[in-house]
Amino acid sequence: MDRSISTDVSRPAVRTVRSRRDFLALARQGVIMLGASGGLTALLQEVQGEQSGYAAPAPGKGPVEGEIGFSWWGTGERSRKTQAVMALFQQKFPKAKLDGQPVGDFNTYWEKLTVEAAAHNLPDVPQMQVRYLTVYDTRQALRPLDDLVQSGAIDVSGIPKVIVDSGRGRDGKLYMVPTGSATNNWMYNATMAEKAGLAPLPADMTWDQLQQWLLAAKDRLPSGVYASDLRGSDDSLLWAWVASHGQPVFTKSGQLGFPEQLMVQYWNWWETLRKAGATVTAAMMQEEPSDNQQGYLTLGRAMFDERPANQLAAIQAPLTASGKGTLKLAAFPRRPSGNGQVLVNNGLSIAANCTNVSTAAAWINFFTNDPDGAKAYASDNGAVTGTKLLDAQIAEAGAALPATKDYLQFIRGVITGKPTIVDFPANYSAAVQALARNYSNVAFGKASVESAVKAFFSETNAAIR
Amino acid sequence: MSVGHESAMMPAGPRHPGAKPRRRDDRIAYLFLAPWLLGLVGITVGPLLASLGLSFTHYDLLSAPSWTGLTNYRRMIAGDPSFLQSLVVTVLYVAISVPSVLVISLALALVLNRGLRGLTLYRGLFYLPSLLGGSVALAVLWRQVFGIDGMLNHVLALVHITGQSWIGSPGTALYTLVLLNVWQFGATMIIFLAGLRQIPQDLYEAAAVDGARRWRQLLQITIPMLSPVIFFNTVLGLIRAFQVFTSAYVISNGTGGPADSMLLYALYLYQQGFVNYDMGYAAAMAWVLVVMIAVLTGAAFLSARFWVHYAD
Repeated sequence: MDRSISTDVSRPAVRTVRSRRDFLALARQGVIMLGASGGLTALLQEVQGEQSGYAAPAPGKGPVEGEIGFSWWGTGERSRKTQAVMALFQQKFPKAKLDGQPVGDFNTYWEKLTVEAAAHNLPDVPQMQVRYLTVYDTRQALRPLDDLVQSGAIDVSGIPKVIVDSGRGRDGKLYMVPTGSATNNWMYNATMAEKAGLAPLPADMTWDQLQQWLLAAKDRLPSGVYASDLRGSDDSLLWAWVASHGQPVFTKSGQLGFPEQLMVQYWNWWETLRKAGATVTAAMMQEEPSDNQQGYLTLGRAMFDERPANQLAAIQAPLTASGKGTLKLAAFPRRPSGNGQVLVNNGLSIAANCTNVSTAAAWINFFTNDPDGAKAYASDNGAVTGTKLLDAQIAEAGAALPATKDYLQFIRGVITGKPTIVDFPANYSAAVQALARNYSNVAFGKASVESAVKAFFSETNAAIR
Repeated sequence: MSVGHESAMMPAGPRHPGAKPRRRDDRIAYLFLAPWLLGLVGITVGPLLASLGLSFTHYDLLSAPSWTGLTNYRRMIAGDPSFLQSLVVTVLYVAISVPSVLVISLALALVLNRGLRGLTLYRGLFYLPSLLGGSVALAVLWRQVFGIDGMLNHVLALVHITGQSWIGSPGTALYTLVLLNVWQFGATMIIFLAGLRQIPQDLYEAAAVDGARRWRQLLQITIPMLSPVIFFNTVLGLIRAFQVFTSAYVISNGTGGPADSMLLYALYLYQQGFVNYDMGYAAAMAWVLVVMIAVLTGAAFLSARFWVHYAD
């Protein structure tokens, strides 16, 4: 049997497949030809591209089109404002679509994000916060943004350097564009304090002065109103205590960076107030909902508390409605040897798994810099980071929105006052949990301050690896 | 003769006329079983085995797991006081809530079995809490009832008793969870009721003729005849109680507080996995829970021969 393949050029190149070998030979040739033609096509395209001056677009400068996922935390008013900004963006870029994925509760947001990151399924643009940034950037879940900034796809030129740098990871790369500058700080009912005949809080008070002020307040307030909420389990406040004592909160390797004795003093500071009846009881602390608008300060049951500055207007509104007074902000102590005001910025990142970087970059740029967008969002989750936009919002708030104006001015003061930047470790939430658990044991008399501090250090340092 | 016997008697080999159709039948059976089998392997067995593997690793969800051998298990025993606390809280919770549910639901089933007027209505009403289950909404409601400004304290104030924060005090918080579990006695009660209906009436009639009073009838007829149902409800209750999570999570704001008094095992497991991102440790905890439940269930089965009576 003749199994050869004809090479007679006078005849049409029709081959008769008579055996398995013929078939394999044909298939092999087909694959080679297909590969060759594909390679040739690619080569031609490359040549044509060069001849026509075609070049790949700069990072993030491609067409703004297609759908991207965008997630954020917050309910009610914040979601409404966020969606307003999204609508403005889609008006400007009609070919782009934002798939909004809000999560109401702050803690639940991070839990969801972690699970999504584990599945390499993060939304294209997740809202981020400096306290949790390390969790994601050290695990390569986020895309470095430096090339997008260099190409101009994301403009951060209007943001102070100290704020931009808060979005950098441990490798120095930018992983989050800060869009809202936020701090926790004191918030107190000035009307109540005045009625109680208390001296105004000094602008540059010490922790001891504050403690004396609260102890003095406790006997002068109406029945059922406590001088202060009980915040011994609050992480922001502990870092403020540590920073104001000139100590680092965390070491470079992520372990707790301050001595145990400093924390013993901190919890004793709270225990002195609690035992004197100047704070709400431990049981009340346990029961207090995490939602700021249901807190004891908002309900008029505590005169003094520690809350995020951006919540001022939201907490003030029910107090105004019930005629229970006007709130004021006060900065954490800067003494004895450091600034207790820690900047906790919020921002936007791009997931490593994002395939539509141009649209994601355009959205971040819009959220950060667009005047209409900034106006619609109204610094809801931290003061807008662009200096000009912040100045404009302060001017616009004027006398009509005093709480908003106070909050924005307060943040501006914090930014210009060299705030403390904490290098938050990955697995930061373990520290938060250990803090709450161990202070609860102290407040309910289940553990001494000293043993609880030891347990906190041991649990936190074991969890942060 | 059963099919199994027939096939056992059939000579092996392809020549047998019944062999081909049987293989075809098998294939069709497997085809119909395939969706379930895929689900079992992909959604149950696969993740189970994966979690067993993960329990020997350090795995933070975002990085690749790294082998640590028995470290997670050693840490549970020697280096984690919160684990032991969660174990103590859970055992206490199970020890109180499971018998409470059994006693209350059996008592109500006995009452409802006496042919009351409007029985269907009562049955529906008693079953209603079970429909709501241990839902988030119910747990939120529990906060409103047992909080410092809750309904219970308002009621107590009417009789001049000063209340306290029942969910905010370490001494009482766990009992509010127990109460929430006991409140969902409806499903257990319905099963008891069905069991009671199966007891032959002539046993009671014979006992009555012999002069046995109600209490004696309960102890000598009802309880023994109902023992398989009691056993069933006990095992189900044990398994369910060891896994309670939602109510503890919502009522304690996810902390397990006050002072770890509501730190149930499943809640602590969740905290390790999704708050501390220590999924390896959480997986190890899950396997310890599986073993604990298996041992207890096994013990219940072993004890059954001494107190569970089957009529046939």
